[in-house]
Amino acid sequence: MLLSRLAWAIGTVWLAASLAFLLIHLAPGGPAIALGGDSGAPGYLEEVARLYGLDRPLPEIYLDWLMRVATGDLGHSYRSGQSVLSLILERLPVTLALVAPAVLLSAIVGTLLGLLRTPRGFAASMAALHAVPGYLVGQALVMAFALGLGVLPVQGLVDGRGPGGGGIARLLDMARHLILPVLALALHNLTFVALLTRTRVMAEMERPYAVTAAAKGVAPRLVRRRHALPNAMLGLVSLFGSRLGGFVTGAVTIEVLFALPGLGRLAVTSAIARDHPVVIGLVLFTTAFVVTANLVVDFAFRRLDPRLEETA
Amino acid sequence: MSRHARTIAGAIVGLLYFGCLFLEPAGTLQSLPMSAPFLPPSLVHPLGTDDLGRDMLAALTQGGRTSLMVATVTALLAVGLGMVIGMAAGLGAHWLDDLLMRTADMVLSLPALLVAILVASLFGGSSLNLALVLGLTRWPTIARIVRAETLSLRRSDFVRSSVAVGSRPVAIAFRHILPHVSPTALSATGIVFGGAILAEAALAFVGLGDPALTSWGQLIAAGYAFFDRAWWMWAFPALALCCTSALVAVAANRE
Repeated sequence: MLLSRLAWAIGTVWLAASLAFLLIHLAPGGPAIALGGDSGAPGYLEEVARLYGLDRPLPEIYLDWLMRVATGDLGHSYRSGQSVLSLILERLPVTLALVAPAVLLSAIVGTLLGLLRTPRGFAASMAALHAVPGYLVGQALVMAFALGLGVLPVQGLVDGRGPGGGGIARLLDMARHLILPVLALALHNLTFVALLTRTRVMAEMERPYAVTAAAKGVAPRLVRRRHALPNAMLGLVSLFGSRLGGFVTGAVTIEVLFALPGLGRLAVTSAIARDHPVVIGLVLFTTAFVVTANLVVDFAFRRLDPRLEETA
Repeated sequence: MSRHARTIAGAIVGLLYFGCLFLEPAGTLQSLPMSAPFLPPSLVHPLGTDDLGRDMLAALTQGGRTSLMVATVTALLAVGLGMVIGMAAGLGAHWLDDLLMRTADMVLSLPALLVAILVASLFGGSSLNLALVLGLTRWPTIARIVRAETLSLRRSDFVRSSVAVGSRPVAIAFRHILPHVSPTALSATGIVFGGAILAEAALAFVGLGDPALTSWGQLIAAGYAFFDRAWWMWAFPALALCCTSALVAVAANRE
């Protein structure tokens, strides 16, 4: 099991790298422009072609490309000249500060909502709410709390006119700026968690142990929380792990809407500026990141539940 | 969710999109006639006009066509690949099943939206390219479901009888398996369809949509900037996107 998960993780990154390779070589103007950009300077493209050894046979270029990806050499941005990896690592904290609280919030509130004795039509309304994209939720939140009530900032990560300086004040300012984006990202995913919890818990409630607990007089609320939930949790966490990628891609529109300097906005601005190496790097980095996060969730889970360890 | 509600939701989506095909030819906002800017909804302009005096209803209709086109191509591609691969995995040898399902797991883990952004960066924004990317990355959702159903059908008497009289696997797949997996596959296709609607709008929202076609995402981004003086510029595209996506979700709900 452990080995097969590891093979899946490496295979996924390999697939992303191969896909990127294919796209680079199919791109109009050829791989030199895709990797080095169209600067127009004489001799520049020849320079790029030499740098990446593009005159060699294709299999050789491919192996070289895989080696580069494996060692984290994602090339250089041709807008800033900075290495793509350092550019990504610079922006990563912002995306993490947005995604991590959203993941926690939707996991906790979603589970609680799913545990409630829900009225008829709950599933349908949650499914309908889930269909509302996060950025629309974000825009509605801005209209209500930033433009309407004026209690929270409209966009940005820090207040340019703020007190400045570092330390606690700056962190608090950032936190204030992140409230609406986190809510927007969480609300969209929370509905999904609530639906999932509800379905799983309802399935557990029909199992003999839950029926027994109810028969001996345990309150339904307690049967759900004490007996059904812990067992339903198993499938929930692993399914939640597979949704982590959704949070990262959901962050793209949220970061653009709130002008947060994270990975998603970097991808969009780079794509608009045709800064291909950065976008390629972001696809590979995100894939690796999501796959690693999934592995961590998986292994942590195997430790928590001895039954899974046995079947491994 | 009752069968009834699902059918109604599906029918409304169909009618909305069907209307879009006839109300307005495909094109960009630039192709629309201009009148006075920021007109509120009235009889002449049922949904008002935008900042350059273009009719919002016409703009919404153009956006609907783009949305429908991307979602349909995506769904067709995904359902074609998903059905064939799912049935092959379910009926084929153990190694084939293993290979196909492992590939499906990996493809499903790719960040589709970012791949779409990369394609937009390398090839320029294009609705067809977006649909290709989405179709080629979303087939595993359908393939998984089709495979699971095929595996259970494989043990049924009618399939075993068919094997016994010497039918070839391909014939069994299309004559006996396909009719049985179609309803579940259709519902999974609905989910892919809805995902494509949202992905198309998201890409246009961040400015990487097809420059030759109007999109709801583009209208939402533009309308947001004028919300304080012309609420209809934001509210109607937002409503169109939410309603369509929610109705598709209801129609595809199997619960």
